[in-house]
Amino acid sequence: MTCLLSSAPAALRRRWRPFGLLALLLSLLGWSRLGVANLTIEITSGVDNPIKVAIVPFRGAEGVDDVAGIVSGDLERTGQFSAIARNNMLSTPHEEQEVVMRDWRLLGADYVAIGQLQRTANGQSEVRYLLFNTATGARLLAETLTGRSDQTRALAHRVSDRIYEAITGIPGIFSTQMIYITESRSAGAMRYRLFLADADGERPQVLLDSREPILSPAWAPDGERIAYVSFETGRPAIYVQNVRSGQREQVTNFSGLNSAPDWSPDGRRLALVLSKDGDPEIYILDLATRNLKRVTSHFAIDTEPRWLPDGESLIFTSNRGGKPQIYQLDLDSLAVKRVTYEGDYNARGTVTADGRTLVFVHRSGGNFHIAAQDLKRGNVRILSDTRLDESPSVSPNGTMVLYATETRGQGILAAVSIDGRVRFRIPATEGDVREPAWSPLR
Amino acid sequence: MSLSRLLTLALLMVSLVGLAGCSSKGDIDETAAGGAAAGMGGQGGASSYGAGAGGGIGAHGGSGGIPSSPAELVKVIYFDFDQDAIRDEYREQVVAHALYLKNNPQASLTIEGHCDERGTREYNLALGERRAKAVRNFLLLEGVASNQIEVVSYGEERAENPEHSEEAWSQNRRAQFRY
Repeated sequence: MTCLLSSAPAALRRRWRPFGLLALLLSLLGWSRLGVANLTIEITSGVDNPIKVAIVPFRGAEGVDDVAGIVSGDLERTGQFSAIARNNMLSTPHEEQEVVMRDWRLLGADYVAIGQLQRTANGQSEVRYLLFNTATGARLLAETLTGRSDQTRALAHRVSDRIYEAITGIPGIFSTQMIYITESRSAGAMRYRLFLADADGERPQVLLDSREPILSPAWAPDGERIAYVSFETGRPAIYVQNVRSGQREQVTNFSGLNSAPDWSPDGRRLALVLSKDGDPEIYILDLATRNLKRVTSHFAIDTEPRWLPDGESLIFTSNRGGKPQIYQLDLDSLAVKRVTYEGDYNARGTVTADGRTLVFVHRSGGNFHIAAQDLKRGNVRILSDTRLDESPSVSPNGTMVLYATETRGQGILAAVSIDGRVRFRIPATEGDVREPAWSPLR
Repeated sequence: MSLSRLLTLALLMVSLVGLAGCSSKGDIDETAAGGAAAGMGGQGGASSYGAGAGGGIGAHGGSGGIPSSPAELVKVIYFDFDQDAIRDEYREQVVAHALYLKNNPQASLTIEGHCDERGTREYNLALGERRAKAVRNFLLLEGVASNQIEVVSYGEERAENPEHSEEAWSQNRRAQFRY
């Protein structure tokens, strides 16, 4: 089954806001919510037999506080769930004793959730919710979460995370965020922006606004710091920025390339690429001591380092064999072994948190796709079906791959599940969007 | 070399560069214009840049004298996919930059390396640098002082043509000369 949801829930529709000098000033401080259009997810392919859930409207939760609406949207956007429409519900229970399992089974619901939202003291809200399996009548969740009253969305995403995990056994990623780059041209001038947004594209904020290119954004494992490359001085340099405080510092300024930063699993070091010694080589920078260690030595291009989850080795892209392929580097012995063999262009690899799967850009038939390779067995599966796919970023629970692609001449973000069954696109309202990076779990 | 011969060569060079300059905004005709310049140089029977400058390499053949201003020089050359080798048709134009730089030691050049959008961004950043450095190394071999040349790679971040076609890609795989 292919389920096409042509319109997103009303709360998710794109919004335009005026952009002014104030926003520009704020963005220079690394902090702005003005002048940015939300990205909106469109599911293009879901699973054959989605799990049916009924999320009953929560008591005391209307309009922007519609917790049930946000949770239904979250679950449906995974492509693994379908939500029962409100006008088909036979009743709207808010308490456990009001839930009649037979009614929900009649509607085909596998699970039903109910709840209520209450404002408490000091600008806080409390959401109480319960989740039932309609077949057994078992109560799977009965929890209370609190959060800021003006951030019901964030609270609702946490409810979605809990419900998703209770049903699938996998942590939910609805409270995660993403960073991405946009490029636009106006009157011949280029404009590059680095954005932070919720994983559903909502609440976008500008972290950096520049006339010069920005690229390679990467999250630290703490989910607070990011690293990226900016050409704002006319030359590439690597910066580290705290996305909460906006505090920022330049960490490299060598002649030649300063590119492709990636955080070590302990958050203390960056693997990065410098060409100060002549050609692009991979280095490890200790952020506290500023000690720099070169770990590759080859006249070919060596770039795109990514740490493996154990922190003991890196994968990287090199054309030392004539064409770009992915190699693995042991950080202790500095021994290098080739990892990809299928095809003549394999690059920008990243390894899932369980260490089992390599996700990368693979050229096939002249087109660039996102592919996954089982690191034990070596078999390669092509996951994406468009022609200019790049910059894969795996969700922190290992289920989805976010990537950049091009459609009708515009750069957009898209995602595919690691098993290739679920697909969605995140169309852009303006300019080209690219280089998404999915945050760690929060 | 006599002064009159040098003058003739310089005049020829100016006219050739003018020809090439017609399309210096980076459209696809650039290649054709460069080819035309080389062809006419051959017809003119002029000595090579190297010989004319008295100290460079003669193997590239070509024509002309010493350019008197960067305005006379072709500011962009193009590359093949995933390649950083300077195509033969552009060697003469690069030699002209070498002549100008050697004759104007105070002049400084920034070579920008660029790529088309295919493939990954960081790899392209590295590839763009290799393209710019290929030009730099060529100029150094021609005798240009290394302190006159800066290199910067923009990878695929600054497309000359933002379209997503073979034609656009061929225009985006380039090195640009900025004085």
